[in-house]
Amino acid sequence: MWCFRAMNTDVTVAAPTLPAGLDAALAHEIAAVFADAERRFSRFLPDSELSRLNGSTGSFRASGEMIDALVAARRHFVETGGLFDPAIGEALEAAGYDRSFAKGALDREAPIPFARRAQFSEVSIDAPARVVSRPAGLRLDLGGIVKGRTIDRAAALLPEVGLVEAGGDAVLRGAGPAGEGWSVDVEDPADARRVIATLRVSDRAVATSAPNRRRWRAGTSPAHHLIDPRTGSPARSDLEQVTALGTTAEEADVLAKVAFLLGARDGTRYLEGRTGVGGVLVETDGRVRLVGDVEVEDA
Amino acid sequence: MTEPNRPRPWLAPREGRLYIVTVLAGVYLFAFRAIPTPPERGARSGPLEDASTEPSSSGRSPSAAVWIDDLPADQRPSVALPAGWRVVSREDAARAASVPRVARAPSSRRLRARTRSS
Repeated sequence: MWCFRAMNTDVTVAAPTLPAGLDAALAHEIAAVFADAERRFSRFLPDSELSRLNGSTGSFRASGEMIDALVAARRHFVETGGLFDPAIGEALEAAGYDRSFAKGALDREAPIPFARRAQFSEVSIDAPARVVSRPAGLRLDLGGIVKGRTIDRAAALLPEVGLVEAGGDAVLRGAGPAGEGWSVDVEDPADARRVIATLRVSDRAVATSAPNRRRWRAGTSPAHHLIDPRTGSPARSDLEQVTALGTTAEEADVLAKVAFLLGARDGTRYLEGRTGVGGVLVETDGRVRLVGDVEVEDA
Repeated sequence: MTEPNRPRPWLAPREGRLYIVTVLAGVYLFAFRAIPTPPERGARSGPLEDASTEPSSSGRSPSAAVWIDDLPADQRPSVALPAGWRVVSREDAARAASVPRVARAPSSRRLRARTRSS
């Protein structure tokens, strides 16, 4: 098992069936995949392609990777009725998330100011010509899918049995080291030392959304990174955390965020209405809901 | 018996040698600094940074470092490198510099995943 830091989080790679040495080479290859994605999609690197796109005026000629990500984002935007919206860059910055997160670094005395409610539908993507146009001031944040997409890209390099985990999102290939499925601990959002459930997972991806880690203070109010596109402000939900299981990490990432924004009742319906999808929803009062296709290991 | 009282020479032989050596050293130093060394021509095997500081026509100071891929193709010097070495572009260098350091996970860590918000 190998680990490294990328995208301001810890990444783990495991390939238990690979001979020693090959797994190290695989981890290095996957580290390069993450570095490449971070260099292209980071909102905090001034010379990343996303920063240049956000700073551009008029039309911007993008890379094939950027176009692929934007086209995927547009698909999620349409399928979720706008609940997944990468045009929240300005709202995130207005809320205070204008630099790489570190505990306490984003705290500020000023309350969150009003941010223009931009929509991804205002962005024009000419995929064949690889040209992107957006209204002045509309800034994109692809953090909602880039980590998942990068995990998926890295997982394509795995052998039949292996895992790639980045900051709590993971792809788990095969039936685990013992052939009985991978064990996935779901962290308790109220106490990171505790686990609220252990899932048994084979050939699936998992992602978790919660405002308990990337949060800071804006004036007298708490702020966090989960922006509700309907309000342009940090989301208010009766959920504390959502863990989603899907086919890909990108899908699981979007499912978890959207279910969180929808809240306990509608989030449950949203996940139940999808084939092959599962979820673990933690309500603010601590109650845990298991939804859809989820297998929990005996305690 | 007493020797005739000869006049003492202006410089003793040992002092004379020291004087000549000092004068020659001064001349050598003067010549070393005053006469310019002609530049080497042809292929170089020195560090890449030297190879990429050629043009002053682009307005850069001759001592400034430039990336070889910043130069117009017709101004790029040929660089003779030892076997196994290669010239990298600015993009390659940035990529290599930013790949994170991979380390073996602690052996105490179990082979399972943990999901949480990041």
